Parts: sequence; C-alpha cells; structure tokens
Amino acid sequence: MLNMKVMKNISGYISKILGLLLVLALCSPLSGQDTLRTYGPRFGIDLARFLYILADPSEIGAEVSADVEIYKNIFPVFELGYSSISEDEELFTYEASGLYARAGIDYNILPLKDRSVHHSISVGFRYGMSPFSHRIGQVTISNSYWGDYEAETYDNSLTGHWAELVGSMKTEVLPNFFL
Amino acid sequence: MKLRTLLPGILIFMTGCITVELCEDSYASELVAIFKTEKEGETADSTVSSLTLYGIRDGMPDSLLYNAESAAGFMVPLDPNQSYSRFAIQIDTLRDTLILFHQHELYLISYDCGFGSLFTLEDLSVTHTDMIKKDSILERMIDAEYESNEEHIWLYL
Repeated sequence: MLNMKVMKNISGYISKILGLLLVLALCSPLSGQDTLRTYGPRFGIDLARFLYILADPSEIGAEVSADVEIYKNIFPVFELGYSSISEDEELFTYEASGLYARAGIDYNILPLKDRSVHHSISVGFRYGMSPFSHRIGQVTISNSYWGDYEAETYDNSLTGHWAELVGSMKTEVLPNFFL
Repeated sequence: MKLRTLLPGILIFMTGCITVELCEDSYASELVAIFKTEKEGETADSTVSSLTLYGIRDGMPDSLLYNAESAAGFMVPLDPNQSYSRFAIQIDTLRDTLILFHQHELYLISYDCGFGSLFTLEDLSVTHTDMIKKDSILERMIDAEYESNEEHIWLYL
C-alpha cells in the first residue's frame, strides 16, 4: 500500500517535471529556424534483452522506451521494463523478478550542421525505480567437520531506487529507424 | 567509414561484459586461537610442546583436528548447526574442554562462490582453570574469508 503511494507520488513528480520541460520549451524564444525541432517522438525497444535470452536463458526481460526532442538536442526519456532471473546454482537457488522504470534527460553532443541528419551521441542521466521480489532457496553451507548446514528459504519484496549517468549513441540506419 | 556503419558496430561490441570470479576451495569459517603467557603484567606469545584437539560432536565419532608436537595456537571450524562448539583440548598432560558460544548467520560471499557462515562469538568457557588460566576475545566476527593475520581469541596458559 505504501509502495503504491510512493509510486503514485514519484510518477506524479515525473509528470510534473516533463510538463515543466515542455512548457519551458514552448515558451522559449526561437532564435533560429532549427532551434525547436518538430520531429515526433521516438519509441524504442532494447534488442540486447533478446541477445541475453540466447546467451543466458535464465535471465528474461524486456524494455521499451520513448523520447522526444523538446528543445534543440534535449530529449526527455522514459523507459519501462521487466526483468526476471532464475538461477539454479550448486549451493543455492536464486529467483528475482520485477518491473522497473527510468526517467531522465539525454543531451545530444554530436555537432551536426545538417539538421536533416538524425544521428546522435548523447549524455544524460536517469532516475530509476523498481518494485521487485526475490527468493533464495536450498542454501547449503558445506562443512566437512560438523556436517553441512541447510538454511531456510528466504524471500522478500523490496523497492529499489537508483540514479544513472548514461552515454548513448544512435544512428539512423534506415529512415526513422535507429540503432 | 560512414557514421551509420561505425555506430552500430560499436554498439554491438559494447553490449555487455562477462566477469569470471575464482572461488576458494573451502569457505569454512574457522576461529583462530593464539596461546599467550602473562608474567608481571606483560603478555607474550607462547608455544606448547604438545597439542591434541578434537571437536565434541553429538552422535558422531571423535575426529582429531590437531595432533601436533608443537603449536603456538590453532584454527578450528565452528558448528553452524548449534549455538555452541565444544572442543576437547589436551596440552602436554593437561586436559580441558573449551566451549565457544556463538550466533550463526549467512552472508553472500559472491554470486559465483555462494554463501558463507558468519559467526558472532558471544562467550567462551573452559571446564577447569588449571591449563587455560585466562582468555580474551579479540575479534567476535568469524567469517568464511580467512586472512593470514586474523586472531580471534587469546588463551593464556
């Protein structure tokens, strides 16, 4: 219940920040023809997640993102994802799963004179939040002298918060298709 | 090389890193005891000429941990299934029972190496005072990652 309230508050703050940025962008004086771009929002999906499934089937997840250039080279970003991991190790098992969300801003540092070119190299930051649960079971502590110790299953639900500094590159490999 | 060719290549190359951690053969949590003597208020290291030591294990046969001709101390594993560990100790011709009272909890050493035992030494006692005249607890936390300079208790002979 408390987590729900915290999530509502946080999503409220994020909405207000994004709204404020949008208002600032619209109210800013236009000094040149290319100051406020009119390109639409970009929607993305994290392809690396699918590579993880091939490399490590115990980890499953998906992530989508959206950003839009509200001012020259400034992109508010919102990312939403789900991740779960299930490991069966020799001495313990571990499972964790949860949704996560990140919100932040990217700034494009790639100097492109031709504004019809949409490649970007960006730096930015994110605030992240995730309600998740995890469970540790079948923990065995090997003790050859006194006898092995087997611990009770431990599970817990938590909410994690974090901040990220982000560097990214995007290139338009096909019209309106970025990698 | 064109930017639209270079950037995807760099992105794929930077997708992820793999780390491999090497684990120890054993993560037994062992208490380190050092023999000491005290004369005129001065504490000094002590070496015994004969040490025999084994754990008193309920329902299990005795199994020697030490049978040494000379020892300045000993390292013993603690019992994770009980709140105490009992040891029969013989120094030269004197015999005694050393009881270590402890709490036990688990901690994660690493994802690759699993969990280890963390003991908190609460107290220790000896049955008689003929052999071990005094004791001192230096470090109450006994974890599974042994360091060469660790000393947990001093036993004064």
